Amino acid sequence: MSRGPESVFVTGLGAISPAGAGKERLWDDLCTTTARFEELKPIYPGMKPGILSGRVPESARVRAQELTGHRPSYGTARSASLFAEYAALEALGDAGFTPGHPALRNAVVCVGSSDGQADALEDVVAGRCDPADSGGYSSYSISDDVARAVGSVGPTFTVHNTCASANVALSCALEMLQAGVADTAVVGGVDPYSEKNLIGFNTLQAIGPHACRPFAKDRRYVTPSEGAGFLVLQTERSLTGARSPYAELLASAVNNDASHPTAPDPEGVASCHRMALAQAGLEESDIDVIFAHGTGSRANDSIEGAIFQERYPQAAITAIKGTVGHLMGAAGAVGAVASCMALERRLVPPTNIGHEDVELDINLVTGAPRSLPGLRHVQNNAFGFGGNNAISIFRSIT
Amino acid sequence: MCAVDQEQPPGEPPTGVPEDFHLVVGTAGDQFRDWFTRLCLYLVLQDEYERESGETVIIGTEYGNFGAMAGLQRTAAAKGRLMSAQYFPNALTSSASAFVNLAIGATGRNMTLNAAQLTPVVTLWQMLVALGKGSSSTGHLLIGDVYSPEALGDARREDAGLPCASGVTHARLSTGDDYSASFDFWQEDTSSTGSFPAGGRAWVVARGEGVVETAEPKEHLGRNGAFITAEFLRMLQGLGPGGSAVVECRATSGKRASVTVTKRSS
Repeated sequence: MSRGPESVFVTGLGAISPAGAGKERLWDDLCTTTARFEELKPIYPGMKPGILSGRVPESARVRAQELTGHRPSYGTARSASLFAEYAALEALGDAGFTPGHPALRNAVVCVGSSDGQADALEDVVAGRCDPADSGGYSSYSISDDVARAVGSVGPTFTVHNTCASANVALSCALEMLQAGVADTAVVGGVDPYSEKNLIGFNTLQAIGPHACRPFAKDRRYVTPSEGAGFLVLQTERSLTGARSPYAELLASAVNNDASHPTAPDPEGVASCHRMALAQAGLEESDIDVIFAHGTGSRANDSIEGAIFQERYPQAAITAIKGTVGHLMGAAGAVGAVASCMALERRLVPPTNIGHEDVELDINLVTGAPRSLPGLRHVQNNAFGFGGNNAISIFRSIT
Repeated sequence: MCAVDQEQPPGEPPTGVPEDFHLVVGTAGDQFRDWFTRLCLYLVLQDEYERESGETVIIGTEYGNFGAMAGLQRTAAAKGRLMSAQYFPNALTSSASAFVNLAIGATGRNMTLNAAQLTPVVTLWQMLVALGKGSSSTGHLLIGDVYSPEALGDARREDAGLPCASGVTHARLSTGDDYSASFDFWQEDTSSTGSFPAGGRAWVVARGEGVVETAEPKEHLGRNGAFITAEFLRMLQGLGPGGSAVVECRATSGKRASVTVTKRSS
């Protein structure tokens, strides 16, 4: 599994999502296409009732508070810190570490988020909370909270690239480990329920009463969701052998369309695919599985699907947002967690639509999970408003 | 660098905006944009040169587009379904980056990052790594904040005494071997007396060949890393061959980071 001293491996995974607290709950829901969407109450004048959204269930919040000791200063705000700390600590335990372990002292902590501490900021703006009582809502406070939770005093920062944020965070962490800044990184993505986000998507008529149906002929809406995904990354020299890594992180490429504030650009998205493959030293034909961005919007799925149809006919495609919704800045993180679990289990969870509903001639996994005994390379796509594109590629270690 | 005084009556532009601002940036989208995006756009657009494809844009900021984000929420409460869909793209945490990329056609790596008071050093790191990997030959570094009332509320919650002056610094960097950089990240010893409060400082270590006058060390005690970054960049411009300068930032948590830049000897 060695490619040189700069090789970086995934040794721990954690997640919290509408499926509940824990990566196994996420995996179970993905494999059974169990969607737990609920109807939103209108949050501003004129918003229609019945819009679907995915929320982290109360039982999962309680579980997260028990593990993290996180006690919000008021209400349920600062959910981003709660979700991020939970997922990071789960990943840490999965990697065989306890908080404060010497290997974590100088660890890089990098968090990708689209909306940061949205709920706390929105409470302040709405006059529901005084800033002094908010617990803090600079996005840095999320990564700082994670760093404190895991026991790191190393480089700590939050990155924002809308819904591509988590893959950008992976890219930053990968580069820091390869440059020798540290041997361990705790990296992931998080986004909480955000009123501002829902208002924005509603003004674009992008959310509605029907669930996200990625790559379906009748797709119409994005289903906004919340949660976090985290990974522990380690350089090869720091591996102890206590736990076999899930995967090697080969690449995480980042570019920008510079084309339109909200609409994706086919050439920008295609270019990011080429960059990721070049960084990983692979060809399109090497990719066995793609966890698509697959938002269920007309524009995204048309562009992404056309690339899959033309360039990746052999790859098994899956899109998890039909099951867990769109976790915004955390989307790439739960995609990365699922990618690594797929590599470990040689199993691809299905997309939550029927085979007969697939629009393009793509190899979309539907129905039951697909077993792929020879699974070697998994690609994880994440794109966002503002022309943000980021793609990570993982390789099996066996 | 462009420094402004943001604390004006609602609806009024901040003082300190350059005279040619509207000539450079225009007024399109003004009702949706906040002053952080506007300053970033001004700084990159007034920098005239032959633009390349694949340029990198890295923005370091603590509060970024808080102004527009709060504005969207308030407008929705007031206007309801009559609110324009154009607010949303301007009211994301990385809106400034998106509109800078759009304005200059930058298709390379881009990101908006927040490392609290260590933001200048971490942003420089990201920029130099991006250029060093060869994916871009030109990069735009933008560091700073324009403090909305909500941003001030958060900043003063953490440290009421730390000044918050609005401003953004821009630098265009190109690939080459004229300079080398060395980074350091560390945690201050808790038993340290802490003679260096949160903020940043920059100084010349060696002025280099042919330089007679050394720039005075500079210190900025405040949240906004734009000011010390601007001082540091000026010091770099004044170095002779073999000269070097340092910028060091310290967070209220005791975390520190520094970068030492050395100009290649002739």
